Amino acid sequence: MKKVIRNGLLLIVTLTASITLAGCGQQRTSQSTRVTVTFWHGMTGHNKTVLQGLVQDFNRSQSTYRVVANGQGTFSNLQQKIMTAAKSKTLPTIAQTSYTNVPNYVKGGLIAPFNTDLSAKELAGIQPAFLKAGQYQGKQYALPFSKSVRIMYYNQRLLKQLNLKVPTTWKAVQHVGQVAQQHGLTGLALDRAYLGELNDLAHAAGQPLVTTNLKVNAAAPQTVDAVQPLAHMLKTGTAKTAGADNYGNVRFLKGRTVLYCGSSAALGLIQASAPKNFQWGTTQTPSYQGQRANCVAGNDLVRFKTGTKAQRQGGAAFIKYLLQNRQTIRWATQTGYLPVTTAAATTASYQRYLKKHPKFKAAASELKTSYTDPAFLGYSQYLTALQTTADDLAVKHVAAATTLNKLQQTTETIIKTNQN
Amino acid sequence: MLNSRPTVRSTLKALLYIAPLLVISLAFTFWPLLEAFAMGFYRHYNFYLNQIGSLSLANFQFLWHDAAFQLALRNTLIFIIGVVPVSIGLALLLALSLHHARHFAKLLQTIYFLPLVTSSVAIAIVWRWLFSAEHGGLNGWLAIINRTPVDWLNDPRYSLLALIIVCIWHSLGLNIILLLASLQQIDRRYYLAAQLDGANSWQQFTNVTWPLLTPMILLVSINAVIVNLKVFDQVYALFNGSAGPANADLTLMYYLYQKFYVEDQPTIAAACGIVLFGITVGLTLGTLWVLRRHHYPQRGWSPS
Amino acid sequence: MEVNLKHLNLTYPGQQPLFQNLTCTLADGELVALVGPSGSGKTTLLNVLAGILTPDAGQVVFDGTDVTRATLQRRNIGMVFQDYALYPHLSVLDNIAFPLKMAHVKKRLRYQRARQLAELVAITPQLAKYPAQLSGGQQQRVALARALIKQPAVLLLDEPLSNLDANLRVALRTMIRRIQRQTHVTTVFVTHDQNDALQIADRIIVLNHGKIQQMATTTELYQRPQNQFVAQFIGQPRINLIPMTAVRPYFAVQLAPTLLANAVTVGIRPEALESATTTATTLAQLPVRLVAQWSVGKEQLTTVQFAQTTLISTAVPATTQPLTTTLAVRANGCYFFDAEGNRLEMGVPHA
Repeated sequence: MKKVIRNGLLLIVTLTASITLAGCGQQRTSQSTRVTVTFWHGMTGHNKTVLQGLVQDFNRSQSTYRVVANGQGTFSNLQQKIMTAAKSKTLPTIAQTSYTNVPNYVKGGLIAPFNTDLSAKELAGIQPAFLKAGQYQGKQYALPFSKSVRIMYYNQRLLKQLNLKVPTTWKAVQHVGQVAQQHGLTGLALDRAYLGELNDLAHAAGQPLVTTNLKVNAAAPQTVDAVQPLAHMLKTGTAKTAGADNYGNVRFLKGRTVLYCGSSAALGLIQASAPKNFQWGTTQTPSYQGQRANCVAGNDLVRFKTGTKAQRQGGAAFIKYLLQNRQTIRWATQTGYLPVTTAAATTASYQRYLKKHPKFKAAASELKTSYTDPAFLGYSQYLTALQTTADDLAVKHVAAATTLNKLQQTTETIIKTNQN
Repeated sequence: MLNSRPTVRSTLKALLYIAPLLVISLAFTFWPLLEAFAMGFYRHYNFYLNQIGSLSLANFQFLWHDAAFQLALRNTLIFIIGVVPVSIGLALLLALSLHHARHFAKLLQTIYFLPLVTSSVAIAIVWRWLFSAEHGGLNGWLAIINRTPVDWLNDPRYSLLALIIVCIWHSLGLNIILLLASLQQIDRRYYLAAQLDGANSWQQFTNVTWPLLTPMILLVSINAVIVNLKVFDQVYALFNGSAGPANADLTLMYYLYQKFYVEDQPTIAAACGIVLFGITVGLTLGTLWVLRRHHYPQRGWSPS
Repeated sequence: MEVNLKHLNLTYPGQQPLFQNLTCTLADGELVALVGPSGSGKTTLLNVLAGILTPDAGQVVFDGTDVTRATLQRRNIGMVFQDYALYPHLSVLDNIAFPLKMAHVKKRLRYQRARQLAELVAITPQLAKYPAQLSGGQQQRVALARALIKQPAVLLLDEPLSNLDANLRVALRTMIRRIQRQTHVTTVFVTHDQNDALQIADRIIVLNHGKIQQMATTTELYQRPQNQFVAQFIGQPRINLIPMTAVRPYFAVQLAPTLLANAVTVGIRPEALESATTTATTLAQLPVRLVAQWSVGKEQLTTVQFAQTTLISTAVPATTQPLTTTLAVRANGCYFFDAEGNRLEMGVPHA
């Protein structure tokens, strides 16, 4: 049944595309000589529409390349599709993926770096943290595209009712949790995979869970101390994870939870699904001991070695197009993702946008304190281990020191095994 | 022609007839199967470049020591023990009542069969609602008998039970149909004979129905064990792409998926596949052994 | 045990009534054969006796006890089904012992009994086998032993011999007779083969369209058939039937006026159609044309043409005589039937 619907949709899309293309063909006679650039992405719904618009405009802006964008469904579907396509040698020209996959793809000889295509100046325009994330073995393999950070959502009405201010520190969050609990409310909602919060806490304590030199600090006393307040909240029930709902916004939107730590990418969705009388706002993630660190999540673009040289150049051309101020701002403002270039972030039009949409300010303001996890072979295994720690704290209420010690050992083993 | 003996010529001719299907199954079933089997023994394997470092049992050693694999194995066994007997017992009970039902038998059969042809995503959505902690139907029933509500999907003490319930419900339809068909195959005269021989209803069940149904029950059991050893869809859908709270619903198949698609460890996944295969073969052979012990000489389908 | 069927009525849904006011009595220890063409209600009657079918009205009485509403389990009936219905998953020994197992008889005791029964039906060498490994005759004997083991009040046999070849039939029906005598169990057996019935039954019930045509001993049925159906059904080769009008001119004796007035059909047993030289009392001399002659074993069969009717005789010796001759109709073996088929008493014929 699913297949039928999917095939049906595919047919409709193809038909629509061919009609549109036929229209283009009448305008541009050079259409037949264009180089086709295939682009796989994991965008759905509104974001997909925005992306399609960008692709269309790129195709109209020049006559050398034609980008054909293919949505592969969810990100996990996209990931699986890339894996199988790599095996069957049917990879697209470019694809959306996380930079953390870069080491694995490089090892498999799948991707080509961008260094020769983008000038140093062009690369320099990109947010430094984002740019660094895409570098591996001295080469630029990934360029940022749909990036987000963790922010904190709050329920204005509940804060007022409890006579509390918007918390800016984890201490204050803990206090909110206690007060809320006394009133039969939940203080803090978290995603099932609240890995960003754990990482941010460790980072704020000056002990990144995994450093760029691949040193593991999970069991460091400072890390354990930093995780402690969150672990305590989870244990006492003042903070709750989403469980099978996956994302904490479900709980948050029910209106009996004061705070929600989640991705800035969820802003659009929350905005769309919040009830009319639901008063809420966003703010930066809480600080720990006066420090704040914000892990950049989201996805990047990589280019595969498949196809002709012209196709690969086309892929780079399309990405360059996306990195231009106009497109970067359009993408950021219409989707809620972060602007990936410093130039775009400082433009007047983006600033105007933030003024008009204050809820998007929190994420943008975290760019200053943003950092990225290092990419290394076995990163996905490390994420699984980190999720186990998150579950240990949230579900099994294991002591922070115990589970972080385990994480330390597991992660060290993962890094070691993947190095040789 | 009935007494013609196979010759080289006739064998070649037969081979020619089955060639298309043979080629397809060799290329798309046996070859990948062999490759997956071999992959379980690769060490330092580059999946994309297909470079094999060496052959070893390291992947199995890894599994042996991996806490997650042990958990998956444990969960899968508990799950099988939870699902198979209850599912077949219930199916037998329902098949018996459907067999004796005079009215609505066809309608009820259809209702029981529906889960089997419904997409697992739709099923998961319905069950997620039923299991929901706040407004869930199941907790509604618990409230009626004055029990505290249970957060079925997020409490690791109950989430495996939740999965077991869904899978029992899901597998019921096919088992009912198979058992019902088998029940209808039993000659009515055996029951008349048994009644004349003085058997009451229970004696008729234990002395006629049960022994004559045993081959089908074993067949259904083998099938249920194999199917449930491979449980994945229901986990994935019920827990929204996770293996339940703190991996409480991590099954072998989910572990395999996780290793292959999420953690980029295809050789571990392949090794897990081999273990899964071994367990399946072992359980199937065990059941067949029991089946053989229950075997009695039969002459086709004729009841005489 | 004496069995009484009283005023039974039975109608299958959507069909004509089968039994209407059916009544009969089976004496204790009697072996009764139930014969009739297919669809005559033989098996139905057997099922009513067994309790598999409940009559719409009337009573089934066993030794004065009304068992009409009693379940199968409570009637204490032993039954052998047409295809035996042996339990395929049980060995011969367990099949025979099954009724005792249902009665919670101890294992040692019931196997002992089962072995005795196996001895009785001569199946002892096959005790460890399964039904599928037995021949038809062996299965039949197992079924018989199973039916007898709980010493039933009534033994019912549904076409017990129909699936067997001729030699086996004879052997088995003799065995049934022997065992029935030994056990003295009131027995009813359904057969469509009158030979089985005639050979071993004490009395025979002839059934047609759900009605008992006659219930009598073999001899009586043959010699004094109640009606044309019985006369026609019993006897091999079949009785010759000739319209009265065709025979009338050839009668050599004076028939009673009532007989002459009511008789429509004349029935002549094949052995009653003899050469004209017979010394027995004859009723008529029929001019016939010889058609064919052949012999089956010791029996000499002759077909002749009389008027529009082909007749068969077993009493004409092999001959090379002219094709046209005269045959005598012996009084003993000649019957007259009225328009309804009822036999008319001939009275004493006058020469």
